[in-house]
Amino acid sequence: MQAYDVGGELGKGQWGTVFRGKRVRDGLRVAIKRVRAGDPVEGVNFQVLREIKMLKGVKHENIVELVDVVPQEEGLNMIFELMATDLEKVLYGTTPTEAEIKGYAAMLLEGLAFMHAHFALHRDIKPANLLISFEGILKLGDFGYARYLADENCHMSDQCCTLWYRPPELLFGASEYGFGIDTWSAGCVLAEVGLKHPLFRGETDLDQLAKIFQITGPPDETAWPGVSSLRKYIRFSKNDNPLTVRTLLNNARLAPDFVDLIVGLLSLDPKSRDSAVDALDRPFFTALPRPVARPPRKHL
Amino acid sequence: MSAPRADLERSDTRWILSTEELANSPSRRDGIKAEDEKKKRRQTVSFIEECGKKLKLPKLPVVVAETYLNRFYGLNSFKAYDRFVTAQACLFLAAKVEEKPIKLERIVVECHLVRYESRKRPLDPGPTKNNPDYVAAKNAVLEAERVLLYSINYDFDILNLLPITHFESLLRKLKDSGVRDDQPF
Repeated sequence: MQAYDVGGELGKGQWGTVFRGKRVRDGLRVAIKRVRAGDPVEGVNFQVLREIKMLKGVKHENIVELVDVVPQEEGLNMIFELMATDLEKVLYGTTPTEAEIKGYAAMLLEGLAFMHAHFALHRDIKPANLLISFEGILKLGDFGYARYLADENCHMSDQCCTLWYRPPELLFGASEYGFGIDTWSAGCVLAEVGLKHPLFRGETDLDQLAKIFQITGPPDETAWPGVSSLRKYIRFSKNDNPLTVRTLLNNARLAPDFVDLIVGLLSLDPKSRDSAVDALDRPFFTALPRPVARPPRKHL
Repeated sequence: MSAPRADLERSDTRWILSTEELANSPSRRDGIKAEDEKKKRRQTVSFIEECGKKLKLPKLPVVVAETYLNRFYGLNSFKAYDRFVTAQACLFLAAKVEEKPIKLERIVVECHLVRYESRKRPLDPGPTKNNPDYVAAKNAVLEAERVLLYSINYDFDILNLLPITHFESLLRKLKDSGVRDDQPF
């Protein structure tokens, strides 16, 4: 750890503390995530392993860079590039312009498209995990749930994604799922950016489904073939006046091409959901104003 | 930490050792003969193989664990680190990395059985899991895991680098070019 000067504390997570720091050699500003690796029961934390596995050696403009891993006594220091803020803070602490919003949307989808092209799932896309650099570049962060897509017929856990951003197939207990889980979360994030409040705010798994179907109407075998054979499928009764996501967003005065983008990401059936690449092809990104990345006005 | 660490500068070829490096391995410098080192590698890899079967692990994490082991003893001497403890740490880590985590207790108990089978002396954790022999075995694996992580320089996403992965894609290409494939792969 002599290679780094450790500064003040930035925050505390589930399994460690994050400090501000500087690389002695060149003054690079870093965030040091110090984790207790020596868990007396199960050794080095599973999530820490995942994060190192997925991020080590990866360089992409929209993925947070893991600069180094340094052991220390019973623990580990994960050295990340220091980021200025995150999308949650930008969204609720400042007023990003339309062009900046478009930039964030493009950068989020670029990051996901890169991961998906490498058969990797993030599995915890939410505003707080979308970090923003001092230059205003959005980068996917927190890879504690990320993994490679399992082979066919190999089960993956349905216990991932923060509840409000969790797609219906996970809530129905699907164990074979794909890139659609990240794009659903991305759709929820973008809707939240437009609405300035989370789109579906459930309190339990069941309530989350209810909140989604209140707006979309419940799925059936025509709209989503195979839905009724999912492990935790429950039939929801039809509500009288489904609003649709489109009308909800239109009522909030979002630009029509922005609404198209979000609606494409929020299809209930994961098979007909837009991929990150599809979404990047939407007219939203070629219409004016052009997407921009500007330094955030407030820092951590 | 006293264990040597992989050279950070040689990124891609870090794990491909030259003939000289192989001839001058840490075990060799520690007075272990070439044949003996080879034999120890072979035995320890088959120990991992056996334990993997006993633990009902899929092939993938087992192959990854074997690779960790070979890398570890490319940098460390067999005299300095107990190979059976290291082997357990390799399995423990590979199972987590390949998304098939196994409770440490199972690893310690099952691997003990494989190691001492002929002597028929199972390792009983005890009702409160505080049998001193069990606790010592468990702690040894936990410590070995940390040394292992450091030695292999946290490079544990190695699937794309394994010969089997290249072999598999080669077989696919053969198959695509019309070569008959009677055996399921």
